[in-house]
Amino acid sequence: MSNSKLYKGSLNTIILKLLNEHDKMYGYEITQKVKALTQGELNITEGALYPALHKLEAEGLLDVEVAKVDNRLRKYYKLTESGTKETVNKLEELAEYIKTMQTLMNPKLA
Amino acid sequence: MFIDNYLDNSDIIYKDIRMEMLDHISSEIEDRIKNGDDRDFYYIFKDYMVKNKARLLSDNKQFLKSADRKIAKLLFKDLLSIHGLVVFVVIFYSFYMAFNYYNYELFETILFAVPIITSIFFGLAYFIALKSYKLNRYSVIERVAFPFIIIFHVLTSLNNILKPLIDGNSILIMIAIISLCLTLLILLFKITISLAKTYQIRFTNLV
Repeated sequence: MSNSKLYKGSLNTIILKLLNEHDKMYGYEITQKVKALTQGELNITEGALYPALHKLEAEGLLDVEVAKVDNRLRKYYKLTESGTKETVNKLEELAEYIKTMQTLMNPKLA
Repeated sequence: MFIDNYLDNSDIIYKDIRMEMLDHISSEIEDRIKNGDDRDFYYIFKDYMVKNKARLLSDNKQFLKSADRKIAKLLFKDLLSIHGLVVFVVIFYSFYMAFNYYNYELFETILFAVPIITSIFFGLAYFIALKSYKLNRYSVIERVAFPFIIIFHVLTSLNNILKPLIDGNSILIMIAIISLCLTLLILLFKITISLAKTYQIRFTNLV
């Protein structure tokens, strides 16, 4: 992960959220999607992305599908049933975290 | 092919890990070309590797950790499932019946020999299956051999170290430990078959 250590803790949530919105995605596609959505602000490196994807797969939150594309094999990730449930939990956790941080950083707005 | 060979020579030996890295690097190079980089493929690739090689190699290590975690999780999930407990109880009960039926010395030989012979048999079956299904060099499939080896060493160590120390009082504990090892071995074999089938469908049918 590039810009900030603050994003690191949210990487799994970012991946789960993106996969929740798309049927299936491959690693490079995820990095490009994040880059596009954040207008280049957040740049997920392969060194951070793939370990996270593999960990989520090992935990049974992601399923894998392999397809032949442009004469090479491409590994697609998609949410499992428990992955979909976990996405809801993670998003709620993150919303709660953002709310708490806002209260701390800017008490007047809270 | 060029990128694949490069990664293989960089000690990224597992095909499934390499495949994913290869797709990532190729996609990145294709994007750069699409965005106007008109240099030769080799120079774009070289630039990319100079910047990212260390990260890719560290990703390789992380992948192996994930593979080990996946196997451990499957194994413990199976051990704590109903069928895992049933296998354990059946093995324990069989050994216990043998303990009551045979004389002590013969029983002791059976207790230690059966799991060791079983693990050798499973080990051989594993290597033959790897070759015949062409599944060698896939990360999770190869890493599954690691717990096999650990269980085998636990069994041989029990045989060499604890066997002479067992008496009538501690035999039930020993039966429980060996039954647990044998249960883990059987469950691991079942997991290996299931992983091999998944990998067969996922990768080798596409190559």
